[in-house]
Amino acid sequence: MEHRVACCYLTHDHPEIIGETLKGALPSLSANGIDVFVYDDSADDATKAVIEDLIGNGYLDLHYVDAHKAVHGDHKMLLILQGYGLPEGYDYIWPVKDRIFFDGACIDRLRKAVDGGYDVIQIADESQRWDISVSVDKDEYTDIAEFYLKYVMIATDWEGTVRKRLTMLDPIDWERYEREYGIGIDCSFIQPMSLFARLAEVDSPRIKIVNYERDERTIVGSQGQSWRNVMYETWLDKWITYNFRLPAVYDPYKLEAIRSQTGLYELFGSPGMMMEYHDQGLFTMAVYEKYLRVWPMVTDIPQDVLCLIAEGRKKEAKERMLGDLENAFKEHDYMRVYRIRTTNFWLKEYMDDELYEALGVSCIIFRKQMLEKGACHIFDGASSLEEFRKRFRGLSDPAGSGSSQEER
Amino acid sequence: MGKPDTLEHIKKINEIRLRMEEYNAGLIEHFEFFLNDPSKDNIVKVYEFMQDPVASSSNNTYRHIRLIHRVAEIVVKELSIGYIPLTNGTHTCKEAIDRFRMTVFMLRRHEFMSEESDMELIADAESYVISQGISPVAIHDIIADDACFGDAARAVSYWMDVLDKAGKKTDALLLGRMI
Repeated sequence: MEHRVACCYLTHDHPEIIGETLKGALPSLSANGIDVFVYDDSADDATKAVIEDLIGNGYLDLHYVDAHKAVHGDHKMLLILQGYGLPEGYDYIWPVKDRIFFDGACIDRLRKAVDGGYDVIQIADESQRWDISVSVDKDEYTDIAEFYLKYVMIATDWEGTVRKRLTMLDPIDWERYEREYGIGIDCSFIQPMSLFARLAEVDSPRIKIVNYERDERTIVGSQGQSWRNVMYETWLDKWITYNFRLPAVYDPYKLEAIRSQTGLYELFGSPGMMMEYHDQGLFTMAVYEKYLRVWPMVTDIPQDVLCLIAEGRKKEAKERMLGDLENAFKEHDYMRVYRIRTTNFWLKEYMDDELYEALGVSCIIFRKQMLEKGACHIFDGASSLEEFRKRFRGLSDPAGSGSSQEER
Repeated sequence: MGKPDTLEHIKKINEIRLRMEEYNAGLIEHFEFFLNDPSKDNIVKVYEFMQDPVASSSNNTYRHIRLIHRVAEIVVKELSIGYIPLTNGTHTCKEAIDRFRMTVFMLRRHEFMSEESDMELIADAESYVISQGISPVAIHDIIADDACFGDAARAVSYWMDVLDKAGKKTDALLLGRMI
């Protein structure tokens, strides 16, 4: 490999997890000449012992970095981006959280992208993309605003953003970035903010997307949900403010980019999830009212439905969404049909299996075609759920073999 | 061989798709013609073209068409009462859509920014709206339908103040009357 990559794992008090992650990651990384550095600020020496054990077993491309000087997670990321603990000679820095690893052909593709000398390489799985209002029909970008619109959401994850030091990291004036973008403060979205702020300063940057298949990425253990306690502050206060502060080149796309993240199923995009939050005492009338003017900007859930959920009137909220689904068909607004079906798994309580599954299958096709081609005609012409059902029966049984439910 | 009604349906879908594609190309052509010669007559031609029966299907299927429709709707209103259109100075659909997106963002920027260091950004947004000559019609329509304001009346009131302070008193009054 022409350029050297430092894959930098961030870990804290997860010795078993980082151990398992490294066992999965190291064979592919070593085979492709990618060195691994583990940044540890754990309370005890268990993680250090795991790393030393692996090094003792022959993984000589693995290195332990004492990161106890980090005061919080974002600070540890900042240290990595500044090159702390790295020997000379690494051209790319790739920070990764401790429970994720990529393997197989994905690492081969990453190595090829590194050989291409790109300024930024973003590892992404488009098939899992939630926001389908953009099409992702290419794997190279030179228009940074377009890249921001489509990938800022993915860059929030500390998983697959690989940056060239020479252009993307070493020239950064970190003190200025702290003043202007809040970088270095805890939960300040250090990765996407520093990435997009810097991209706006680089002449003609080249960005490469490396896609991975589902089985090429592994999550070790289960991710905690401790962030839920701070989800409003994080996503409705900080995320919006920090995006607003990014350079003007991104201005036309900021509202859509903000929503691409906040509208995620596990954040504020699903009435079903908001009902769960309500049951857990996380989404109350006080929260609803506090962010009254923010909801229309961050989610597609109608305001009145959110209010019903916050009040605990689940049944009425569900009936309202069912009515909205019928209306979406009536208005031929199939993007809305897609959103409602994919964010409301409770719909199966109100539909027979055949209709629920037919909608599900159609939405999978809809998502794929929208992302690839920017249009999909699978629902075209259907003006009601029943009309869609009849249509689907016909399409799934074009030869007329008599397998429709009525005929059965 | 498939069921006759199924084949008929597939044929129909294909016809709709082709008509949509034809409509999209026509709309872009008409709209870009208007952008390069922004007269009332030319936006009327765009508006008439948008009455095509397939326009609504295309609107629901293609995001860029939805955005062109939205911009055209605002421009028609602006020109009907003699304002310079939102799209002034743009020559392609992409430029016009970006102008629209930028305006939506600028109208929202003052929210969520309260720190001392943000004041410059807020001033920039106000200056953008004034210097680009964004009409009260566009401000009102965008706040009402596009900017996703939880409290549209409050936002309108904010922008009335901005217009007023910039000496655009008639525009401020008109914006106030549109609430």
